Amino acid sequence: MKSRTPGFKPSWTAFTVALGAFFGLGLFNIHYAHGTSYLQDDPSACANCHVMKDVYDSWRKGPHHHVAACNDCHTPAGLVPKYANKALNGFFHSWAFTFGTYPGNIQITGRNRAVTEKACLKCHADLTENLRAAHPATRHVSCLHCHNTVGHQH
Amino acid sequence: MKRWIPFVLAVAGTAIAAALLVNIFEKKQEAKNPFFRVVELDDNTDDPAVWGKNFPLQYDSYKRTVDQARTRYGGSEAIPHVRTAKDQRDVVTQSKIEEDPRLKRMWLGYPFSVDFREERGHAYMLVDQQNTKRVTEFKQPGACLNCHASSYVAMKKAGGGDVVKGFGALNAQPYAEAVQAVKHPVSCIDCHEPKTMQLRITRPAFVEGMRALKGAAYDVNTMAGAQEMRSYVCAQCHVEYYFKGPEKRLTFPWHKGLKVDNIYDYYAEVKHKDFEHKETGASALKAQHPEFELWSQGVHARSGVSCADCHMPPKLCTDGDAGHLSDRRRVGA
Repeated sequence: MKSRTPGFKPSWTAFTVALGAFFGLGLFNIHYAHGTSYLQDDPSACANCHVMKDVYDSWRKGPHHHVAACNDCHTPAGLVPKYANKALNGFFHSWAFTFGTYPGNIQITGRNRAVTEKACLKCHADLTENLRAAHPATRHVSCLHCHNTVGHQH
Repeated sequence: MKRWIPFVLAVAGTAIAAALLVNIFEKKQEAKNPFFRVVELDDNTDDPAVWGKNFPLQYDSYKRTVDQARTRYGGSEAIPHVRTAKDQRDVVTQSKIEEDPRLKRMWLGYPFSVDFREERGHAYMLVDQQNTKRVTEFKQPGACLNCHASSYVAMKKAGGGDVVKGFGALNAQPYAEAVQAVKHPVSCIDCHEPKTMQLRITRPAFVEGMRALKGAAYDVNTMAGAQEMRSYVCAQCHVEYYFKGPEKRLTFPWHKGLKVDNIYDYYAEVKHKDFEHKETGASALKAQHPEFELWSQGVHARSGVSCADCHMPPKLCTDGDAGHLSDRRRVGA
């Protein structure tokens, strides 16, 4: 590890080349992996990673596909929470997919389940008002407990 | 500032970016083969068992259309049958004209008054047609096979590669002759493009029917949306139809619209009748199975719900199969 010795001083040319290679390759990676597709709402972006293919396919054949796409149920309301959630999930999903550290039968995390649970009310709040009011505020009535396949199977 | 620190970081970062690039490339290669390709399928593979080697789960649910069990959503009951010279079936369904004998009199002069049974699953469409008295005791054209067999490859061969030409040829042939060209009931290739598995229309009668309905420039295979196709593939057969002229061209009467009055007006204009009632001498029409026309006028079509959304729901398991057991029993499943 010669380069780690304190006396080592790379030339400006070597420095520029190294930095250029890093940014060049990095930018190409973003392009190659369709990085910008994650900034918008096209559901096909979620299936960029083939691990989401089954979920994506069954959403396309499922009962909600013409009224709600991935982001409608899997991101919270509001621009900042939405993109914060996207960034957080994006990082952990990329990590899991790259290193293979995820179960074959993908499980939703508690945090993301709460996001989805709230998302039902984006459209169905009025419809379910009586039902929710009939329960004490301390006891949340879960939509997904029964309606867990309205978006997609699995 | 020590220049070597950012330099080493940039070198290490480049190495990580390169490793990531290789990893993304590998994942993209994996995605190219979402199923295990055992056999090559081409546009002449009409045997569903061959497709089943690549898609065993889909084939399995497709084959389950042999099931005969009545549920609260409908279905047919299996009734044992003793083979006769003209009817080789061991199992049939209940006779609707015996259940309601008024039908015999209502359809007097029409083959349906002689034999009309409860329909069975897709698996039986060809064998049931070959053995019904409507075919064995009456002269029928090859046009009947458009929707009672996997006839796409047969039409293509009869037309020397031109499906529309083969469609014309098959329609006009006598049934007994045309039936030699087909082997299977409706099969994978009738709705799926063999390379991409995309839905596609193979039946010229539907292409022509949609042109009559939407204008001569309408090409269903390039202009219909993905969700529309999930109804249109079914509408290749689940429709009202008649055989036009001496060439017996299978025709969907949608020239004035899809409503019953539109269809009646069209029939009146072209002076078509299905049969002349034997007792009264009245000209009569009998709607066949206008599922697509009725659906088109309902709340589900308006709301963008397709046939397949309810009749081929995904199965409640993790095998990724869309559910190819397409029949009445799947509604609500």
